[in-house]
Amino acid sequence: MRILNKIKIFIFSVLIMVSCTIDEQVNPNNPALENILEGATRTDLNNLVVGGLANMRSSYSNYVTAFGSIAREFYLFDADPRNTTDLLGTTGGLDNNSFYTTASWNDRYQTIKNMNIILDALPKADPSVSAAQKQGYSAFAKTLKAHQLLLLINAQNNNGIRVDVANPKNLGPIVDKATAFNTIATLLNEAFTELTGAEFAFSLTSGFTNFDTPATFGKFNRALAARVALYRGLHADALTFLNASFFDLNGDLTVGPKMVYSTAGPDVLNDLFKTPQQSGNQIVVNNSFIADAEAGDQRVANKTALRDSPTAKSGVNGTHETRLYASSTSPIDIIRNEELILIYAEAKIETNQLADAITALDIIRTKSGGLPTLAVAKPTVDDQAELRDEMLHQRRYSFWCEGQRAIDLRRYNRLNSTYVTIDPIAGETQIIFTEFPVPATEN
Amino acid sequence: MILQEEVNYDDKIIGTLGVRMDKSSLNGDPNKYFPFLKSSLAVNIANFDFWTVDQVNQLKLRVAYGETGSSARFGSLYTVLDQTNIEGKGGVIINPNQGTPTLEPETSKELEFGVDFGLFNRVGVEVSFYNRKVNNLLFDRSLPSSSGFTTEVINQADLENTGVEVGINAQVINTSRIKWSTGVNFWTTKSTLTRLGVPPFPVPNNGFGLGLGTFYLRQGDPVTAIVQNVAGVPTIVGDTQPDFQVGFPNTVTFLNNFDFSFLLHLKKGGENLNLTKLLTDDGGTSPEIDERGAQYADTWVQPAGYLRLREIALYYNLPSKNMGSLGNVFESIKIGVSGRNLWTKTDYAGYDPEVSTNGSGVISSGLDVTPYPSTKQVFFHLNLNF
Repeated sequence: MRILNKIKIFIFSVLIMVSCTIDEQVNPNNPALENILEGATRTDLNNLVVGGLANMRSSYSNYVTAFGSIAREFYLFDADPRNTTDLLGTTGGLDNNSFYTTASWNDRYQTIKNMNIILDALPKADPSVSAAQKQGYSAFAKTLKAHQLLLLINAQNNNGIRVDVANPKNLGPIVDKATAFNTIATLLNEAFTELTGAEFAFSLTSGFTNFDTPATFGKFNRALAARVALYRGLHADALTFLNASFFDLNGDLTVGPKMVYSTAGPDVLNDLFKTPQQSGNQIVVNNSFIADAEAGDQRVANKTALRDSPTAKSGVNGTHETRLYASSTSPIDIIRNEELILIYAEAKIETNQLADAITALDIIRTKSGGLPTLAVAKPTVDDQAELRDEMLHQRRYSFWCEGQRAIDLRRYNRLNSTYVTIDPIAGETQIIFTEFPVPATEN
Repeated sequence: MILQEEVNYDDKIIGTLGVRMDKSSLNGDPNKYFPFLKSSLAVNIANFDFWTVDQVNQLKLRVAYGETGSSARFGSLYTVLDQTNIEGKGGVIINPNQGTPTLEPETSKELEFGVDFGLFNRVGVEVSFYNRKVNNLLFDRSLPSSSGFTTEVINQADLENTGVEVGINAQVINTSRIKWSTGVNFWTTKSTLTRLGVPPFPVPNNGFGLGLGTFYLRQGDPVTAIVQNVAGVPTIVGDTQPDFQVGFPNTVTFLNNFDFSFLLHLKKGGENLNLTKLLTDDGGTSPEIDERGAQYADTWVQPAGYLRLREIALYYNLPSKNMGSLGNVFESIKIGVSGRNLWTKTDYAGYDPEVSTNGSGVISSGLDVTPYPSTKQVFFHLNLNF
């Protein structure tokens, strides 16, 4: 008992709270995904449409500058040295966990997710959404999804991409290029079919002026289908799709839907615009673009300008810089009539209808380049191989800094040092990459 | 709900036992209780009657066990849509963080044992060993971003931290004219990912990817390892965790009224990812570069150990007999000068081995991308007590 007496017992706290029941929570700050998947209203669906249009612009500049760098169209001089080292191959292979691989991949699939949410939500949408309106949403979602998948397979090429990503817990496999293109073509065709009898209950941006009804949006859809068919080597199909698109051989070259930018509140700016003469963040033209131009080609002067002083970084240099966009709110073309005319020219060359091809190429030469016709300037260019070279040359100058050059060269097995001029960098060996790896996090 | 009981037997044996039950709306099941135990036991051997070794005036053995839980940060449970905008037109876009509705709190179980002893009433020594196991660690995982999501918070990992801390303080000189107390604090810790229920992945929003080096969670690896793609394979190229660190505080009081103190800090080992070097190399402004070629290193990991004079100070207490008429107004007057980070010895090539662009979290430190260095500071002091 003595010991027990010596034990001092302190009950510091015996606290029993008869506690309340906590209700299941929903996030009060943002709309929850599951609320949209059940009983989506037109407002919900329209918000998802706008989200897709906004997000398709994210990291698009990354896509263009990465492709332009590997094809030696230009160099991006900015805060990240990897734009002028990794992308030129001076540090070895392309990395699967660096921004040039991951940024565009992430944002393309984020946009695709928004479109898949629309497609998931439609069957269980609010009864006030009519069948024709559902068809309109579905056609829009599939067209935009196809466009985003096309950018992905362009970048990853033989490394493949995922096309079945509807269930984040059970992603489909990474499929090869042929399968991916097949999926993209199918999506575009399904969307085009749905557009017949569809109603658009949403409004698009000003970039889609004249392409914002089911009928005119269908012309955009067919333009994309023509591009896809061309990339697949299906030249007869490309010509068929062109006829249902906004292709106009004698029309304005600049016509076509665009990604728009504004200074309104939380909107974003066109990141491919660079302040003239700025050095720290600049798209510097590869000297070969200036040197290889046909004398008098006005596209050089329209798209580039001489710098006050030449600039160098990481051992590469240039005398000219970009003027492709006049301001940070200039729109970026998704696809325009100029490309459709060149698709027409290419499909005609590859199907050996050379007179039609020359007609189309002359339109590009005169209207876009301010150049004389082939008969005047290059009368000897008349066979298929020569016209193919001429067509690729016109594409090079018509689509400078638009993410097309690398793909065009690659399609004809020309994305290599035989066809691409490499500016030497002292002490470094360079590589011309043809495609980007699948991101590290996909394993 | 908390229950706790403490028992103290004549300051010879002290024990505590407690349990708490938590529930939170931050957990997947907001009404499920999770219990957390804690207990400790300390034995003051020198307070027992049988202890007769006078040189050792204090000897205490202690052991403690504690469990704590922390819930995921707000929002981790939900998959939501974010606001977006084009031409002033509002829309929504999927938030790249996928919600995990089944989250549980992570629990950490720490076992610490140690011994404290005092010698000759002048030297105190504390030695502690600890082992902390975190079960169901909550962490942001990188997702295959083709899902539309780049991250999710999950529970599927365990982490183990082991460490040693030794503190010695001594009153080396203790006379009326001069007093000098000194100390040595030694600590080291090691964190290992003992379980990872998902494939290894680079820590999201940290560093610049495997191309340049980043933190990478992989079972069996230290979480502080810097991992980089070497021939396409994520490989450990460095570790931000130092081998050990030592603090060396000193205080000297002399000539009655002067106080002089300083603190030296030694960090042995540990590496930084010096991407500032990449930028200056690329810009051709690194001192050792005179022409292009071979300046692109395979890795930017560099040793970042240092010996730093963390603090130094000298004060003078004005004796009241010298204050004259001011003595009527002020109780005491103290003047002095002190400095922080005035001197550093390091082999690190960047301008400060202690930098961290991303802040000071366990798996965010040691990244050097032209951050502000720790500043050297000098203070002048005038303390007036009324």
